[in-house]
Amino acid sequence: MSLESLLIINKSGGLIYNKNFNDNIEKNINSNDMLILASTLHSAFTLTNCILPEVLQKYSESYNDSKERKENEEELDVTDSERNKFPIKVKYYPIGNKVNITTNNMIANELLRETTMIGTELFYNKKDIIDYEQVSCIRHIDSDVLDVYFYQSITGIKFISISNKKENLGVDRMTCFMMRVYSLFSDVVLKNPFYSVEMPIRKNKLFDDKIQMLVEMENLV
Amino acid sequence: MVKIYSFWIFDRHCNCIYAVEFDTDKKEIQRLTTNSSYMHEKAKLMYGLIFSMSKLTNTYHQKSIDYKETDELFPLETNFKKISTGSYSIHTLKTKTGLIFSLVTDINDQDRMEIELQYIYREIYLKHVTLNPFEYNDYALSESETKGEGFRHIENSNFDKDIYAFIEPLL
Amino acid sequence: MSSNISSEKTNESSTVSQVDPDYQKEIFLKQLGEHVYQQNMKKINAEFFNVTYGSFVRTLIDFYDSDADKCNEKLKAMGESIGSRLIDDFYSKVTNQIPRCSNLKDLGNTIAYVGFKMYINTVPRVIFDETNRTIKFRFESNANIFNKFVELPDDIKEKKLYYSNIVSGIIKAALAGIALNCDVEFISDTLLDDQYTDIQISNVTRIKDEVPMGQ
Repeated sequence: MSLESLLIINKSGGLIYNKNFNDNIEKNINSNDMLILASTLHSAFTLTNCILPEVLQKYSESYNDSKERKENEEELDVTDSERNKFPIKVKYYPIGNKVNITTNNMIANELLRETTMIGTELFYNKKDIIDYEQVSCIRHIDSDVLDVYFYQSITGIKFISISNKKENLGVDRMTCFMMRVYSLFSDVVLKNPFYSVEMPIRKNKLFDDKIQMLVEMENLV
Repeated sequence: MVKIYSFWIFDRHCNCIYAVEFDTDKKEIQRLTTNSSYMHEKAKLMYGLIFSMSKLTNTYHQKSIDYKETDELFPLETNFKKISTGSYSIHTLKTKTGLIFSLVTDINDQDRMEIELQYIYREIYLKHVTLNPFEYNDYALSESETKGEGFRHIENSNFDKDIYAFIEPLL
Repeated sequence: MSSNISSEKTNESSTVSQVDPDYQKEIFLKQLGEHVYQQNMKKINAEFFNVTYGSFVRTLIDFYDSDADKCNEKLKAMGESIGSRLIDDFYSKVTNQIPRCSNLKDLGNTIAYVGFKMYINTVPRVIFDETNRTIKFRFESNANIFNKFVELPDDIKEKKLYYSNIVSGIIKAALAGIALNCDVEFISDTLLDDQYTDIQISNVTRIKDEVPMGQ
């Protein structure tokens, strides 16, 4: 019962997909509000990069770009112990939150078989997934009424899930969930020949259903 | 063990009144002074981030519980606690009087930093700034210094000393 | 003996709670005020305080050549600079324990049972006027500690000097600190031969939160 909304934002900050799991949200927020919400969240990513503490600036994505211009400066010297802190390790949660996927669960099997979702054979026995270097990407926003979790794919698509405080979901679990949404997205949406990249996903009933199924399997609704 | 990168105080006129940034390697200290445009710029961005994120969560929450604004004197308030990114977290404490205390630390999910921020507010800020008759009541002395346009800040060596004494063991 | 009293109190509040949650909240606020006063507040000698405040008001009256209006104004201005500091002190001492105010009556009760109790150890009677939306704090004849030992001379009495007008400034600035704008004034004072000392809060409005330039 804790997930309230799921948003997908393209790399230029436009909302391409959103699904609300709360009736009040459906009633009170119109599509324009949702677009504003998405672009605000997108701009927060730029801000967190700007206010990166000076100590961490050598890890940031844009650091190496400016390096080329100033040749006099020292080479980037990152010792091994520092490098080990990034990338971040995410603890792996299987679908259905620790419940082993049983072979007789038809829906789950179908969903797993049809898509290349993270969390099937490849990661089954591993404890950690290594997230790529997200030095200044927001991962979690915590207020006393809401939790907002972020996952940014390496191509710049952002997945955002907004949840209430009824259950403490944890960053790792939600990152795993959003990785699965990413893999669903790449399967069901991007492989569709009639979908133009970076445009809003409209009338894709298959994707809608599968998201709903995934969310139910994860016990998030 | 938590590393602290920087510490900020904002007043209710959206001005940054105290900021200090620590370099963990050399223990070098960068402070908010009247001349350093670097810290002023950064403070504005920091406030903008905290402001827009807390406003966003607040409006979203009001819509999700179908809240109707009935009493304009006592509106629904929510507290904003933390933004965590891939390499650092911003912990905030907003007091009822509109001050925002904010600590930037490394990522550590267990540490909430709420006790530390409360301590800074109750023991250090109250003692050296609020109850000190020679500090300003309000750091915006005129209308033109409100809305984030102000430049005054806390210049109090005892306050500095206590803040450093509190933070240095955590570095 | 003391344990008996406290258990009686809790019984009373629990039976009443079924009838009136407001009353229960009032009792809680009273207990909170008592607790914070006992535990967290530093105390000074009352006589010393009275004499200090007395000589301070005397100096002010001499300075303004017995102009009571100017004195009232100045006392209020001083109170405002005290109040804007005390509100931080107040919240840092009661944080996490004080329930949120949801209406004007709550606000009045909180100021009276916690605020006045903490700082001057006197609890005034709260008179809430629903139609005019005003709150009145009423001190019985000798309850206002500022007035202890004070006999106003006749010429100043005629000009209506409110001896403890500093309190109205404190309340005004403290409420401004939590974004509530209001008018606070004395409407009667036992020193001016009125029956009670009344402080009235009226025209409470909310100060809009400031937003940064360009938002």
